[in-house]
Amino acid sequence: MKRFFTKYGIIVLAVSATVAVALSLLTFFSSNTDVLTNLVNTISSPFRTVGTEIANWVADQRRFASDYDALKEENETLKNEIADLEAALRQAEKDSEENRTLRRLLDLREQRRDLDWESALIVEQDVSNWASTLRLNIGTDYGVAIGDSVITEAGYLVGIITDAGTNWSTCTTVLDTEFSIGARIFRTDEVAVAEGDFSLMSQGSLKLSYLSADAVPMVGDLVVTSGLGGYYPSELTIGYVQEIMTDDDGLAQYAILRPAVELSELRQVFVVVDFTIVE
Amino acid sequence: MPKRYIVLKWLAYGGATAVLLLLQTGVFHYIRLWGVVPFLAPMVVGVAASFEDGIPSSLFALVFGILCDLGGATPVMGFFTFLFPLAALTASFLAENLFSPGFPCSLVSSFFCYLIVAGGRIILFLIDGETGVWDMWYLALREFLVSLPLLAVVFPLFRWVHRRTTFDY
Repeated sequence: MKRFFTKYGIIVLAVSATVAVALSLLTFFSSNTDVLTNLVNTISSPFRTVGTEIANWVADQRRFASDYDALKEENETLKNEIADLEAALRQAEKDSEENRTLRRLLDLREQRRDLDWESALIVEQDVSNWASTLRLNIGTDYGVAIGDSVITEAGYLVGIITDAGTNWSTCTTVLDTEFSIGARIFRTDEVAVAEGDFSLMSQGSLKLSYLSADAVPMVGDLVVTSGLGGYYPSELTIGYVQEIMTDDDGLAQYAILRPAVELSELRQVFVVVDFTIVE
Repeated sequence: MPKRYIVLKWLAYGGATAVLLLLQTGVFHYIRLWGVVPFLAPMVVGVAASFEDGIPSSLFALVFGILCDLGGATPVMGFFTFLFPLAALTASFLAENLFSPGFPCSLVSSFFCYLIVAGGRIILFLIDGETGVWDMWYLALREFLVSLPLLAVVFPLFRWVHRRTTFDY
């Protein structure tokens, strides 16, 4: 035992600790993704893409037969939903026209909502069991930067870019413990913070914290991004209130959110590289 | 042993590890049980250390740790760089002093590698203010149990590399 540690153990551990600290410092002092990380991921990215494509193709072939009946049934349901939505759309168009007229009368700026996005394929899902991340196949060469929002084609929030290299980027999803974003309950306009929680991550849920004392969230309430501060676009759907809980101290309440997007089903996402929103 | 044989041996281990990582990305990553996917990296470190001496296996673990830190979802940069050599030293100590090399030794070595890596992650989560330490240990246990059957792939592969590259001088 003594020989084991005096002979080489301490030396190897000291070398490891030195290299680990050097890597940490390299990352800490890099304003964006550091050179070595970028190099390793740029080289490995095409291999990951090929592996994922093959795996997806196999999964598609396997699911094709079993999904057919379910898709037929879903198609019928969607046709009914479209009829309802068309009626709602006609009313919304009238409301929008009225809104535009009133804004002109009050001399307010015209509402605008421009999102510039880049389409991306998911190369790898949940690289680790301890985090909820997605590896995307586009990076800085497409204008992707740390802090960009990632959404689905329906405008549902998937996560935020937390690492970006030449031809790859990492999206930290709404379930991850590192995720935190300003949120708003659509029905009541209450502002809160949507954040990942370790215990909820495995259940596929997240937490809506810092609710004000007089907030009255209800199960089923839609929660969207607040857009306060201008870092992220507003009105991106985060999820729906699933349960309302009280903190351990019994003083504050928080809500458990079910994300609007089914992360395990995602193949393609959109990175919002720039946005202009006038409320 | 001549230096070129030592280099060849560790290149062979590197090649075997690359094959395992490809399998992890293309196949094992899609096997989800109890909400977790298998995680091969600690097993690679543990099994290699159970076959080889402390210094070379911990240096192999150091290089592997650096690559995992740079290419994977590391909780904090330098995490695997520090913990993998520590895990390799522990596994190597067990193999040299408590067990004779073989499947049980690789199993116990791998267990300690998973334990060290999971312990490191949990400490980082607790420092970060996360609660639910039992949920974390439960996740660690599930990760180990789901990864465990893959020892049936890793052990024979590394034993083959060990036998093909080890000569008596």
